[in-house]
Amino acid sequence: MRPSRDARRAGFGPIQRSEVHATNVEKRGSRSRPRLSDVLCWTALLILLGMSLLPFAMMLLLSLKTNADIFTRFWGLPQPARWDFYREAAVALRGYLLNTLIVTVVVVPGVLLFSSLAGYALARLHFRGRDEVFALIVALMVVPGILTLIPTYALVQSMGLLNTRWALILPYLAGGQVLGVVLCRTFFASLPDELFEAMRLDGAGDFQIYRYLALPLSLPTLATIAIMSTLGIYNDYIWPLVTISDSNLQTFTVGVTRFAGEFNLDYGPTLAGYVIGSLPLIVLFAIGMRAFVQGVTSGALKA
Amino acid sequence: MNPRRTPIVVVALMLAPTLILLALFNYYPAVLGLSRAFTRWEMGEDPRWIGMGNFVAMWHDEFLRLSLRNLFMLLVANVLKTLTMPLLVAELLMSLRSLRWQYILRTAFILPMVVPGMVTMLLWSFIYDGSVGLLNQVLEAAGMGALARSWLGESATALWAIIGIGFPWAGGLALLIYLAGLNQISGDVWDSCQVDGVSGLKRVWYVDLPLLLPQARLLVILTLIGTMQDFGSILILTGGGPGLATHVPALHMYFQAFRFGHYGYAAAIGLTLFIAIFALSLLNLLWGRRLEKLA
Amino acid sequence: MSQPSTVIFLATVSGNYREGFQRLAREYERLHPSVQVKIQVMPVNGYETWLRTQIPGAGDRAPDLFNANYAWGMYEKGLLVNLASYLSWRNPYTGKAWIEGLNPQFIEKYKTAGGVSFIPVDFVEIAFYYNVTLFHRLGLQTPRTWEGMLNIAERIRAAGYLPFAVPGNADSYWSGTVGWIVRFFTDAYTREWVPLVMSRPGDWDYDPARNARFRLNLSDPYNDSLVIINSERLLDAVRRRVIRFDGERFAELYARIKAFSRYWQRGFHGANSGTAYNLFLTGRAAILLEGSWLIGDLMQDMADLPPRARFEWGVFAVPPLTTSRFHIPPFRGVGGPGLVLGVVKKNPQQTERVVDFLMFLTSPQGAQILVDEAVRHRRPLSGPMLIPGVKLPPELQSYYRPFEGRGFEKLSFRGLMDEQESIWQWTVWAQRYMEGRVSLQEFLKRYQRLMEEAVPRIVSLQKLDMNPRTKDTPS
Repeated sequence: MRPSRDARRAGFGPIQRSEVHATNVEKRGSRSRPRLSDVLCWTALLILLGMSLLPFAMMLLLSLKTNADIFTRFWGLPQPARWDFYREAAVALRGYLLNTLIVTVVVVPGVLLFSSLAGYALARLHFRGRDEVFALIVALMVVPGILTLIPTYALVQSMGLLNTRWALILPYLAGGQVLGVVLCRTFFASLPDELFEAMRLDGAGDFQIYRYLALPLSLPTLATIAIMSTLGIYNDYIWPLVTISDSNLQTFTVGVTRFAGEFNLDYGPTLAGYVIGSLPLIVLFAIGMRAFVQGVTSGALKA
Repeated sequence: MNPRRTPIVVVALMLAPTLILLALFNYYPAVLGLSRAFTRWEMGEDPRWIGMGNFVAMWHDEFLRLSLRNLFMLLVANVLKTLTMPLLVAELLMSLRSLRWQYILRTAFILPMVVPGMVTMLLWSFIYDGSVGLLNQVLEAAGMGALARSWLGESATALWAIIGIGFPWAGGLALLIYLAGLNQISGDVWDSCQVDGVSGLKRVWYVDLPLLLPQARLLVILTLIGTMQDFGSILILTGGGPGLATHVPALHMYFQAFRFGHYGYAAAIGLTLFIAIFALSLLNLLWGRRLEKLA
Repeated sequence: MSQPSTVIFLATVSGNYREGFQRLAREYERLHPSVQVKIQVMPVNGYETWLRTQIPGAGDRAPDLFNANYAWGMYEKGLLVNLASYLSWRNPYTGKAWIEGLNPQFIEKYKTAGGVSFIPVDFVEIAFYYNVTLFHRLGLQTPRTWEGMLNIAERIRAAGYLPFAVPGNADSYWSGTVGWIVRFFTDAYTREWVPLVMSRPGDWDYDPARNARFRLNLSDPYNDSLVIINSERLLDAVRRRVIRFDGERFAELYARIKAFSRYWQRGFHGANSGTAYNLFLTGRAAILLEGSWLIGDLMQDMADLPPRARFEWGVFAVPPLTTSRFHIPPFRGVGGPGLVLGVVKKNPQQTERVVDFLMFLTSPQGAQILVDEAVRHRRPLSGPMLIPGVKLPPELQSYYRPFEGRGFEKLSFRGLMDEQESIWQWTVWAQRYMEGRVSLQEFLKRYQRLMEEAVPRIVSLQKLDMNPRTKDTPS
């Protein structure tokens, strides 16, 4: 499993912002480039790619087959293709996916709003203790999820939030901001002072500057943060597992581990469910691949 | 520039939501995580200070001791995984003539990253299944049916099966970071390589690898930190079994807290893992400084 | 015809009786035009949560009658009717006392805090499913003894088939197949210890009707089934090593289970119940230990297979062990009640009406409707009915007959008294032993230690004073 929200928050490394923006291979113009033997290169790449994607291809193929078809002709094409498995699986997973969606649409805008505000304040406002506050937030990056899992659980329990959506929403909202504030602050600090001074001379207040100057400029950064948050929420397993016991509130990642049993161990509908559960992130990837790539890289680099 | 003080109200309004949330859900639990490790704290009871009691208990915890070996194996294997295959693929991609194909193939290689982690895990548990698993089917198709087995079901293979997840481990974050690193190496460097007749593997070894050290260092530390903390996948795939064959300290912590109700003891395991992670990160920083000095 | 003036509301998760309940309701309404019977079949997911909000939250709109298998603790809170006094009432649909048409043994065994909080309608049990076609081809008969079963297994293996499909993951050790095997073995091997740990005169939970007349008799399989065990006496026996896990008794028991496991599929520790089922369904494994609820699914799945892959199958009960250094009684199987119906406390008139409906439901003709409709709609029954006189179609009878042990097992020691940590530790060491990573002696040493270590944890968890005369478990 990909590291959870907390695990990802835990990583920290040297500040190498340039890397974040240098991943766009296609930007580099042609230049003389050294080459290994082309044939060798292509063969190796295609074999590796094939092996990487085989499990997913088989997931698609087998998701259309009945158990009997799988047992007797594993590699054969489905006959007939059971598209109705997808409907069955969608019905079984609908509630879980909806719960994940609800949490995501509450948390992600919140993370963007709060971390851009705080990032702006820490980059562009002048007040005593500014750098200390920022340092305190950066320090949270070295606090791994494994240290805070149990105390956070006890906290949420004592607040009476167990088995409610708030048990997910509030900690996600808080956790998503560590990286969010750091990225926003770094971005706002990198903007030329003249832009801000010009607006200030026109009589704009800080909230106006934030709203009409900083926010529009930071859209790419915000997209990156949004993708990171969404990924974190979508993939988190342990936290919803321990805080949510009502399956009507449970998220997709926990729900999908339980739904296989509902089909009497029919592999087809189960695998169809895996495909359905993968679609939201694939769509997200297709829409914002650049932000996605930047998101996962910067998540690792942690500015 | 003349640093004018911003009115405190504005500062407070902008920072308050973030600071309140972070104080409550990040700082407070972190402090609690440090202090509660020194208490006897059972589910439903109030914590009671016992000093180093939990750490003494950890020392005598045979299950924990046996799980360390597994963690060590996973750490070594995951570091090797991140240092080899993604780098190979990155180099192969960079040596493609067509930028377009390079882009397309890169996209294809990172596609598995987009599949939800849990789906990947469940898919791999299906791959390793003893009766209809994909791996057994592949082996049978290749005439090696005798090797077929329940890969996660035997102590001899379970840990290796966990290590094997994601084979050939070519895509993902590591690939993206290596590609970013290779893109940073200036064209001039490679031009001069060509002029000097340093090409192919020689160039990779003498030019690319040293220049990719910062990326490798980053990936190693990220892998170490991630591996020490991850137990969700093991929980799903084997629950630590058979026996203790895939048990790891983080999973032990989870069991102690959420199955047995020993919050204090679990907090102590969590604190110990945090210290280990912190120490590794510090080592990494120092090692980085030394390398910079050498360079 | 007058408008229905009263409503009886039944809520359940038992989808297999969906149509049966509906028809039963209509029949009842025909007999009692003033009553309307409302049936609600809920998905298992969320049923318990829903129940706990409805009872007592919804007042008169709460269900009157419901599947109480998911409502532990409600009776103790006074939310359910104690049905004990109604049991002697005349059931108008049979003309006899209600209790005479029920299974008194089950009702007695599953009493809650001395009261009758539910009426069991059917029960679930385990037995061996076997591939009849394969048995015929190999010239095999169903075994009469445990040893005979292992001989058959040897011959099945020699013929190139897998004798047993067994799931062996941690879930299975706790609540699945391996757990069942350990349970019926342990129950048989430790029957002699029942007198040591049962409650005695003066104990808080002593019931002379149950314990006073009990004399250990290993040739009567059920004579201890109503005996009450005192948990403090049990813990004390473990603590003082009166009950030992590293002695000859457990050595033989676990050696036997391991000998049995030689006929299971390789790597069974990685298999879940689905994997094992598929091995049986695809004809690769000859025998499968499963619950009575599987019969319906198996019939369905067999019908779905391509004709050449189908096979005839049957069921045999867990055969008794005949060779042992100890006096080992026959295995009693593992099981318990399936659909159990409890009555929510509202007002006496409503309770009487609900009890009348429940009497109809548990009369032979009422219960027959449940079975008939389930069979007609090809719904799986969870197990045999507990209402005497209900008939299964002949083609089903042979399937359900072997489920006769009724699971009255007493002592099982997969961990101590359901305490999670000891369960986990036992699973770890048992798996390591079964895999051959630790010797029998080493395993038993660990077993003894982990059970002893569990005692103080349980004492502290349940706040016990270890005096059997005082009640201190908060129940």
